[in-house]
Amino acid sequence: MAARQRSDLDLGGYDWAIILLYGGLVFAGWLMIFASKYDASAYEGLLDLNKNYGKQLLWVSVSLVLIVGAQMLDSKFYQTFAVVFYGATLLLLVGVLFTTPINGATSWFEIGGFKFQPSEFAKISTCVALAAMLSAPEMRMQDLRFKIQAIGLIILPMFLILLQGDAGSTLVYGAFFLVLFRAGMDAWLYLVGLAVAALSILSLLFDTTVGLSIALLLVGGFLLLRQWNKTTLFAIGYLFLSLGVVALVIAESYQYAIMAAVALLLIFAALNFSKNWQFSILTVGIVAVSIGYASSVNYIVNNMLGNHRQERIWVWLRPEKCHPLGPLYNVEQSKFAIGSGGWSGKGFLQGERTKLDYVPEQSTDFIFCTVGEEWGFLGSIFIILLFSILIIRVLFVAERQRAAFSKYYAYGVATILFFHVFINVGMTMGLVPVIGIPLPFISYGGSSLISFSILIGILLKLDSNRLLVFR
Amino acid sequence: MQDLYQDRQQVLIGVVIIGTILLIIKCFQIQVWDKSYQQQHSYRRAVTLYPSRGLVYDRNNKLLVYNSAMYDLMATYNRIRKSTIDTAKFCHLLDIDKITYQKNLNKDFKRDKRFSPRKPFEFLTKIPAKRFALFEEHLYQFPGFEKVQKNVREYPINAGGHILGYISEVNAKQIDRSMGLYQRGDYAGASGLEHFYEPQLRGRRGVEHILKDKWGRRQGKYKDGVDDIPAQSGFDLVTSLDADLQRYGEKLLQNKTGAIVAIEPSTGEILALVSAPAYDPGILVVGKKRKDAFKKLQGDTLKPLFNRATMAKYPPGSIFKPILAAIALQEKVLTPYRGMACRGGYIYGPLRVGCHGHGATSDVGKAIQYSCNNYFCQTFREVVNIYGFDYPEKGLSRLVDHLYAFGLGKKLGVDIPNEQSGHVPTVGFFNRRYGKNRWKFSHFVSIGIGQGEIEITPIQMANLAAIVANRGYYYIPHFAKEFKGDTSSVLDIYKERHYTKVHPKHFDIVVKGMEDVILAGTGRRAAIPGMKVCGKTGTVENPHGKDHSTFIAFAPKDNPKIAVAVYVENGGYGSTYAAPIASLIIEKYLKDSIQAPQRQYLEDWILKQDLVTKRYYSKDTLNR
Repeated sequence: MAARQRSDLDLGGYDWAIILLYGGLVFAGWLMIFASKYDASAYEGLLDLNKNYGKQLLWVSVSLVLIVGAQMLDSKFYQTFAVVFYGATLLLLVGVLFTTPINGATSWFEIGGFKFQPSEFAKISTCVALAAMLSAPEMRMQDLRFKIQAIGLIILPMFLILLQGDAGSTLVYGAFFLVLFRAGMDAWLYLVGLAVAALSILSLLFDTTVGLSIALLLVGGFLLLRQWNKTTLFAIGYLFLSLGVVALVIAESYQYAIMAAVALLLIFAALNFSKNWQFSILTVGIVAVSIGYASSVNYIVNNMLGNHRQERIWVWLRPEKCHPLGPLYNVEQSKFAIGSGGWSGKGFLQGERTKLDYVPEQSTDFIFCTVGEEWGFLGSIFIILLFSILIIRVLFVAERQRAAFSKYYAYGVATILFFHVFINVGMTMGLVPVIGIPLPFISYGGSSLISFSILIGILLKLDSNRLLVFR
Repeated sequence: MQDLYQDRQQVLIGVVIIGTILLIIKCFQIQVWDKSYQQQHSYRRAVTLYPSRGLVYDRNNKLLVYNSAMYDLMATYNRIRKSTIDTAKFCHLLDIDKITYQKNLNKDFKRDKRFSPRKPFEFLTKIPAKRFALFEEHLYQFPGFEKVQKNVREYPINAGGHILGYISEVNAKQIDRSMGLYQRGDYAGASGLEHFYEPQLRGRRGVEHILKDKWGRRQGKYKDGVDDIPAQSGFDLVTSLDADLQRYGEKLLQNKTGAIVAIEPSTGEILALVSAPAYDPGILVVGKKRKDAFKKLQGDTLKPLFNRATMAKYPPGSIFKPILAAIALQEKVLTPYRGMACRGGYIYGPLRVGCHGHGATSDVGKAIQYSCNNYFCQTFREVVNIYGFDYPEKGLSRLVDHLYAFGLGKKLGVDIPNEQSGHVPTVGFFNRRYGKNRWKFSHFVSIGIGQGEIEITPIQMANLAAIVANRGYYYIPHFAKEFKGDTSSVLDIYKERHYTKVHPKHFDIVVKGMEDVILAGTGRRAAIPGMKVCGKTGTVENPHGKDHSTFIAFAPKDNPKIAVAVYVENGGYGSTYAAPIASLIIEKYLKDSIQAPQRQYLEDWILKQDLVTKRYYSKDTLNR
């Protein structure tokens, strides 16, 4: 250990897998930007700063400089100044609210023709700050105070970014909740979250929530039955009763079906009451709340979300309800572009759909369309696998850290990458609703590339020093 | 530091792996499994390139038919519904009302398979170039509408409607039969030269594959145009027509019914072919007004659409006599100096064919000059009875063979559609009518003077004149001189000589007779000062009304440049109308203008004659 103390420039300490994956993705990304903007008639060399691919080369070099710069600083620097960074970015996030909106969002500072998006950089400082907080000596995740502190640390920038009108970036900060989960946040909160999400999706998928309500009632009734009597005979009997209710649903006698299901639930709740009254009340309560929530999700979406977000949800879950040339258009075009690639794609620079501007934002948020169209299925899974391997590698790197700060920081990096990749690639294919966030390293954009590069740069620095000190 | 939640690392790795698998499955679904994404080609389109149709010129390189643009407006329903269109402005620019707009736009997309809301369909067709020019400036304000340019025909000279024909949209049957050559909305020749030479004039359609951006704007060629086929224009047709002569002929026949055909004997090229009443080809151009014009033409009792020059069958009358004379000379029935006494008609038992007073028919030439009925009835009798009185079948079939060789009784093969063959009565014809062996020459002796069962079209008459002018042969009368740039041999059939079975020397005698017709016979009104014209008048008995006036002629006598046939229905004597008209045509063609004052007087007189109203007038008086 002591032998490595003065070896800041010892490249053996670096994780070459991450460096190679990073390099590969940035290169692939630049190729895709070139492909999506290349126009033979207006081509004036790779360094043409009027073109996205030219500018991106500039951003790549800036990123490389910053990554090297990150290696120059002492690894303790980040932990020590975490609060300062965090505070500074919060100020920037507040300050950006007073700029003139671009595309309906006040997310950019404009300096000398270049746009700068503080929410991208806030990810780094939040990540550093969260890691610092979680690695503090007095940190005990079991304490409610710490839980609230940690959640607050994440929610504060989220709130400010939501005020900017950038819901996509806001959602990305949800990644940090996975870091909290790793740090020991109560698992049931996540289960409740998953349940709420599942319930929301299920109730939005259908025009009425009758079926869902009956299913909830029947499942609740079954749980109460099993609590009260565990014999198979009763279970089979209950199954037949349930089938009767289902028959009523099929006969479209919804009122009788609901009444029957409610009756079943209440009967078994009553039967079980003397044996375990808490369970009876809890089950009936959860079922009631779930049904109430499911019935109101449609209302919430239709009345409490802006038109724009409503549309995105409907496009995602109920495309058949949308006008093909209205909100559905962009996602359909994106899917057509990716789908038209087939097995092995149309070849580099041969993507007609992306070239002809059928796909919106094709060098930024929808860059994956170019991958899909020009490189096909093989290229697409190649890029997806590169990302997955990178993320899993970062998770592995996280686990080998001795310092808690480095570990939680690495978790932050991995979860943010995962959120970005899954949401971005998923939205281009209609797997998740359209959320405007970039694909890391690949999408055009200085703020995005530079912030992700810094994120990786700090990770490399911390990892290279993992044996240095035992923090 | 103790990590209580070490195992949660696996949960996170699991989440990442599940997420990756979901993405890959989705990729597989849309890129490999579901082929519909690859078959969606909305970003490119095949655009038909319409060839320009071949132009038509007259023999002096005067333009007879050219192309002009006409526009169809195509609409794509879904794109129009998406955008906001200023309908009032739109309708104003196109000069339509809003009801038409709604009706043309809202097709029955669900049930009518011809229309799809995603594909362009015909919104408004046949917009004239002038109207469209106004609209086109504003076209960009109406997304979802696009233009398709079509070439339609225009006629700079008001002449030759029957010959040139017109084009019209192809019907379903034509499209089916054409094996992909025609598409809905294409135009094809429907009559006249346009129809006859459709394959040459049409050209070849091309196709261009273009890329569209999402606004439907053209963004260059698909695959740099490797699959494109350029359109090939049709061949330009140089016709044998003389536009001035054609116009002049139509003028001469104004207010008359009948036909004029003028042929260049040395080539068979038709210089003019007039059918009266004529119509302006310009009224049948593709456009909104065509339907009405067509209806009017069809409803006219004088049948202006009926091309009398090639479709009307008339008894030839006395113009048949020179032909019979030539045949009889060949058959040695006549000798050049055989004379016959005329007793004021041909009398055979109860049969009597009247004749008019004339000088002595001391030879064949004189017989033609005076158009002696007796002479030619007798000649006809001898020709039919050449194998003896009891064998008229053998004699008649020998005569019929001669007549066929003169281009009678069959279609000549002129290059416009619907030519009629006329009628030459054959042995079979009389067998059917009278029974086998139950007829003699006397049943049809009037054929000898061109009356009765023989029927000839005006173009065949002109061809007879050409045969005499050529002394025994003809080329199939035709309009097409040349297709510019065409190397095929479609026109070779018009370069072949067709000989009659009569020796050229016999024609000299006939020609001399025809010359005398003009100099001192029935055709004196056709004389042109300083020119040797040969002709023969005909006055055709018409059981339905006034006699038809007819005349065939050629000039000059030696090395003839023009052969003409004129047929004026209900014109009376051949010398009254037909002869002067023919001579005016000849003079106009050979001398470019009518020079002598008495000839100008004749021209004025002809132009002023109105036989059409006269005929009606006489009918009215009859009814009274």
